[in-house]
Amino acid sequence: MHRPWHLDRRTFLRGTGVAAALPMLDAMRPLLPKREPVRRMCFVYFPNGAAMPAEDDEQWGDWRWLPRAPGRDYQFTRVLRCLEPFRDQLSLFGGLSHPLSRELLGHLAGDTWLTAGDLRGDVYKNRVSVDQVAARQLKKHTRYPSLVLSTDGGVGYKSRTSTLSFDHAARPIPSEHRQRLIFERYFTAGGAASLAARRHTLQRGKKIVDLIHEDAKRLQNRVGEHDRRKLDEYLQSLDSVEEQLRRNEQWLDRPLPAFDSSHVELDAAANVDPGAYLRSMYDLIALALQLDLTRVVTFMTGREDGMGFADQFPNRALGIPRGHHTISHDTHDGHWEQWGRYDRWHAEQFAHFLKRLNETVDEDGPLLDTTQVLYGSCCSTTHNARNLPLLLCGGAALGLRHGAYTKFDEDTPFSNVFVGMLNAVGVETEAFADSTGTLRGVFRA
Amino acid sequence: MAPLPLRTIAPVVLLPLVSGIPPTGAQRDQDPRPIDYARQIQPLLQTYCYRCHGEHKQKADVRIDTLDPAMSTRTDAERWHLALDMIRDGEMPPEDEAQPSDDERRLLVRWLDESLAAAATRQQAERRVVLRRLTREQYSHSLQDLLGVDIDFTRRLPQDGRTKHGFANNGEVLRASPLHVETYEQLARQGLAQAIVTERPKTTRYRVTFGRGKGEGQVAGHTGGYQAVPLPTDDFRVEVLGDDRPTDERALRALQKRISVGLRGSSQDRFRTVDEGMMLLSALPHREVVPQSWQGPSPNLKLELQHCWPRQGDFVLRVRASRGYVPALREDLLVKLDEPAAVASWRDGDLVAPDGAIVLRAEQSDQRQNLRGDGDALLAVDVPKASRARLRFELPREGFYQIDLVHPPAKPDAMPSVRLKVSGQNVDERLQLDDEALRRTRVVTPLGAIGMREGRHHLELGGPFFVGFSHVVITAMADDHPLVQRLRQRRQQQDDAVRELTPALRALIGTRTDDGMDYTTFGEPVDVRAPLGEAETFEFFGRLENLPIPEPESGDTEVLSGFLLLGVWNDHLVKSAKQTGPPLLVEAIEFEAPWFATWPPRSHTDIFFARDGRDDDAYARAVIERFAQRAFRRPLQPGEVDRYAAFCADLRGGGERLEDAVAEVLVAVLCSPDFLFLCEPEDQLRDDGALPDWMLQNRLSYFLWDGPPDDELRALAAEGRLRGELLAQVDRMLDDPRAQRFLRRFTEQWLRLDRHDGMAIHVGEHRDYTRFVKRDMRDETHAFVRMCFAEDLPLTTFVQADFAMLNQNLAEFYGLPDAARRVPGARLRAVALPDDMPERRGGLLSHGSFHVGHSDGTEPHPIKRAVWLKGQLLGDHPPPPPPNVPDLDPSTPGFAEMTLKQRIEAHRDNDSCRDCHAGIDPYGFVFERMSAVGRLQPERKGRAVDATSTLPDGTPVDGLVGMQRYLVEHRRDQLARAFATHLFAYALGRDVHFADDDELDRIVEHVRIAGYRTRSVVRAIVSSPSFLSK
Repeated sequence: MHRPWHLDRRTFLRGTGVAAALPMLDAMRPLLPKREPVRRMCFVYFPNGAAMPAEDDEQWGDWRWLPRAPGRDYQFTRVLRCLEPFRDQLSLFGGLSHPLSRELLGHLAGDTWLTAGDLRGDVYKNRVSVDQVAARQLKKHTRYPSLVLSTDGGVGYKSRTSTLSFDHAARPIPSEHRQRLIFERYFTAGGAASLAARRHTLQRGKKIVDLIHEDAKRLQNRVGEHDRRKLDEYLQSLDSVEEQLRRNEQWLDRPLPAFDSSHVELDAAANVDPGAYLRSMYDLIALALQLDLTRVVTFMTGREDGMGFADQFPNRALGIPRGHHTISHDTHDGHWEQWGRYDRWHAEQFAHFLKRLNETVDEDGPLLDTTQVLYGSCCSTTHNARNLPLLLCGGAALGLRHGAYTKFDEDTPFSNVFVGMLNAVGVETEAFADSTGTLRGVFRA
Repeated sequence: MAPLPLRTIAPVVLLPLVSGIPPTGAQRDQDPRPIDYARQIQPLLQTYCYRCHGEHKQKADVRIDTLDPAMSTRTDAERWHLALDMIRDGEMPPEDEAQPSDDERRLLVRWLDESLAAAATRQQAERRVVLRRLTREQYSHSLQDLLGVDIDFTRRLPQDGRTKHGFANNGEVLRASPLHVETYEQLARQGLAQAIVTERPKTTRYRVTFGRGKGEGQVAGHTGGYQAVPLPTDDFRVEVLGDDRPTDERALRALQKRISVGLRGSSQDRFRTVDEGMMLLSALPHREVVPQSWQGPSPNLKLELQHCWPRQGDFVLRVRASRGYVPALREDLLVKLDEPAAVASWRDGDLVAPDGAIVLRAEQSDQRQNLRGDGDALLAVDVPKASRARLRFELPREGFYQIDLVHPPAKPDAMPSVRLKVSGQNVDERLQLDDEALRRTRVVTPLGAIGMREGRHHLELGGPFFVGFSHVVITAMADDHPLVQRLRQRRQQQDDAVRELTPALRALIGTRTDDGMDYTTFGEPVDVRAPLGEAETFEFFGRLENLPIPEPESGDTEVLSGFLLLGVWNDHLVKSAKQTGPPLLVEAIEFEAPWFATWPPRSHTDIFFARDGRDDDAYARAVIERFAQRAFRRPLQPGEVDRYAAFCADLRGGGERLEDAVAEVLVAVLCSPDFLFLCEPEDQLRDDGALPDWMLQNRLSYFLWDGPPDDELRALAAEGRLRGELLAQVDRMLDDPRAQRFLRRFTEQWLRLDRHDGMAIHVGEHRDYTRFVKRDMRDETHAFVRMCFAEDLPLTTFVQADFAMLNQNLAEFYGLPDAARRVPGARLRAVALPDDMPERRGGLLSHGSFHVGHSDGTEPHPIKRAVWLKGQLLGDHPPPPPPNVPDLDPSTPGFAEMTLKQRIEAHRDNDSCRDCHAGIDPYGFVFERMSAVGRLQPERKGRAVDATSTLPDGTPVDGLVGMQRYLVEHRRDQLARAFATHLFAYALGRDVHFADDDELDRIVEHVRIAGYRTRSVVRAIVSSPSFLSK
């Protein structure tokens, strides 16, 4: 199948520098056929929670991640003030959590941020993560179903994972963390595996599907009407698998459009310059979305419990002589300020990402309008897996309505956010894990 | 379309209210005049029904005015059927509404009956078994059988949908999504890659030997972390014995460093390294409070292997063990002296202590509370308030020690006292000082004697009215001291008490997590009878892919990542820290993986059988043909493998090895609908619609074994003899171990054991409800149903049994000490229960799994229990509550003091709820004396529990025992019919519906004639036309 807009975009991107393309795009827009916008989602996680001193603490209220009063007229504290330019494009959520994780030690809850799985017993019962549910449907449009990124790579280990994504069998999906390798794998023709080997695998898969298809067809002529309905269902599933194989094969032949990646620092090291590292990862994500390599991205900026590179970020970036995890336990005078300053620094890197998404424009407008970005953690303050710091931004073109800070009580599970996000990217579902509905106000009812 | 209800009320009990109505079957013959719906029926419905089930109100979610009187759809017919039952049984209209006359009621019933009969005939087609995809378990069993590898293939497949009544094998509900198709392909590849071998993989083999000093001078690992209980490296020795043993000495040492031993979750006084090995007392389960409950019971002993173990294949854990003994001393022996006499003394302003005594001075103490210095002494600041001081000391060797306190004198009116605390044990002394003592500057008071190990210890002094102190003197006691002899005797008695008990080994495997472990036990526990000094080796087998080992590709360099845990505990579980249980001595643990019984494994030679001189093409074809025939579970059609053989040739042409090309073809075979579905093509049916033997063989084996047919079934079918030997085969199949799969699946779904599994019991209220009790409750129900089938017991056993299936753990939990003594250890066995415990003689009604699953986690939940009894046992599934049902209202006066039963009664006064609940709740109140965790509880919230109830038919019933009698005496046929209906739905993998009534009538009749025997239900179903034909 040939989608005219693919060609349009390719031509378009090849001919222009991306950031400077706005006027021309506006000129083109009326000429483009009307169609649904591209729909994307992205998840960014930070570990160990955020500074959350008591709201009425005059001395330290400045350093609270979440503002005080809910509503549309809320005041950012010093932590998130750097997001002021995006105020109309984001929503803040207070009071949300995963009911099954509420009693867990906060660090463990990190494994469930995007899954709402049940880790309470001696059996680790995690679930598929929300990004992978979306990826399953959206992968038909893109070269890759999803990008799974982290600062540490791999999957970590149960209870302290280094990935946010879990597949449909609830197995953790290894994350990638070296910009250069990511770039070589996803942004260059052929990627890591040789083209010939991938083609061989795909063709083998197709041949098998052909064989099964014949079996099923033959059988279909021999069964009764009721049975035929069930076989039809199987055939349809086969068709969709076959279609995906065919699409994957087509991608092999289709070159990437020309693009400018000069702004991406591929060798920024997390243990030397954390700011440069995070910004370059954000730049890579924005570039992947711009090129429509994938529409689903997760990025775990650090591991829970003082593990991995990110624990030293406060020291390397701000000269705070403590690890991030230690800061989250600290009680000395001024610890809220220390934590809040780090949270602010982290938010500033995130603001860089939002700015990039907002300034990068494709035929649907700014990427930020077609990308929902969820930013947050799985504990609030010191290991308490309730009242999570959460912020959702972007997606105006997908029907999201922003601008307010809303406080929820514990009857509203965090999963309700996921239902809304899934619906907004076109996954028609009424439920995710333990959801009870969607969030009114932000998402279309 | 809404799922259809499984509705099985038989008109067995005609209620007094409608006793004037003759059975409807007879009615049909008597009155041949056709009934005019519009003229005769609708006005009646209008008068009596529409007010509550019409346009404005839909009580119980039922609306009648829009139902199609022609009953042309199955749904409408089902709803009319429901109405028929209600009207005929006099349940509707409700008592307090206007009642139709007998004639009117009779007319209504006759019209419903006739219309339904006509609809049933028209809708026969709906009763056909629809093409069923294999369930996850059936798929896994089939693939295991074909490939000869024991990988649990269910783990990666999506969950199967369930019907409203909990069955997961329903053809309509089972979907085949694109995710299924992708997963099937991956699983086929994974399985074939394990089944077909090339060269023998290298074996990993580690042996760890335990014992004091066994590891001195050797290399081994030591793993710390949160709440770690690492074993000192001196006390175990690591040997690397596998084919992959590094030859380089440095690499070997590095490997040994990655193997440590940990006992996280174990209390220090429940294990001990002795010369002979590791002594493990009986395991004590933790309360279900995190994180301890995630760490295994106390004690548990684990090898911790970091990034040095294979990920796939069968493995064996070998444990060398024998009976043990209680190590010589334990710290809990703090006792007062028989004849108190201080060994230290105060003379001329100086302390005189025996040689070798340990003297602790007050100034050395820390953690002081309410104390002030006074010279070399510490005195209470506020005398009545509790004081506290801690002293550390180190003992050179283990033994019994006397503890003397040196303190200033105090008059009796000051109530001078002292509390000594060591290892959580207290001794309280009230000092009585005579005049002579009061004149001295210091007094020496002997406080008591204690048995202690060598090494570091601490003690605490203080308490209210603390007399103060300047010194503590700790002196070793002689071996022949009478007190020491008495304490040794006590130890001896303790040993004697457990001498008759047998320790047991239970193996566990898991992944270290930061707060505990993600673990599971594997294999069955084994009793260890080998006497001390004559240890035996016990083997536990498992398959790595099936177990919660660390995730692959971790790529993680954190010091605590990638730990595989393998270990054991002493499975003779105890209930209190005071019990030692029978001790177990573990000498060594050995891990070997992958493990092969033979080489090359049978999995390989079963697929690639002997070539017998065939050339490549002929051989490949023969291999594919044989495999496909087994996979498709039927005779192959001529030429059916041509396409597969061509594909194989194609791959061979592309340069693939024979084995690889064949494996690729087998992937296709395993994704074919002929394998994935239970196919019953019409062109193969016999002329009368009967199934040919090969289809019957599959229906039978996927019913009774939840998996593929064996050679005997296939051979009988191939010879056309299966139908003739049907019942003999049913018995053989039920006696086969594979029948356990069916019984587990069916029992779990029929009795909704998933509710028990999913229930979170309030730990604060029910402290001793541990995961082991939970496991045993689930297994109790499985073992009980298994027993009913194995012994072909009457169906009434489900509600009336003079035995229970128990093990020691569960019998103790239920409060049955006599029974517990008769079933020592972990294995569940039938145990006879005497008449004086009638509440435990109710079969399924007495099972903890039922009570727990139908509680609210704290208290019994009479409505859930009622719905279960009515639905699961009597086949009358009440409608679900309407949406927006009001919650129990906490503003009701006295709400906090009310039991759940009383709250529900208050709630029932709510008008909109009463009608339905009047027909449900009385069945649940009878279980009120059974607590949320299934224990007899005659009192709750300080009051005697009322478990009396009056059933909707007016029968008064008292408690579980009364209900039991009522069911056996009055509802026997209904019990049989409900059981048959559930099993019928399961056997055919489809909903049961009103058009099945006649067939079920015949099945129940057959069961009645057969004396209500459990197996007779299976026989009757298997012999029914629905089972035997399409």
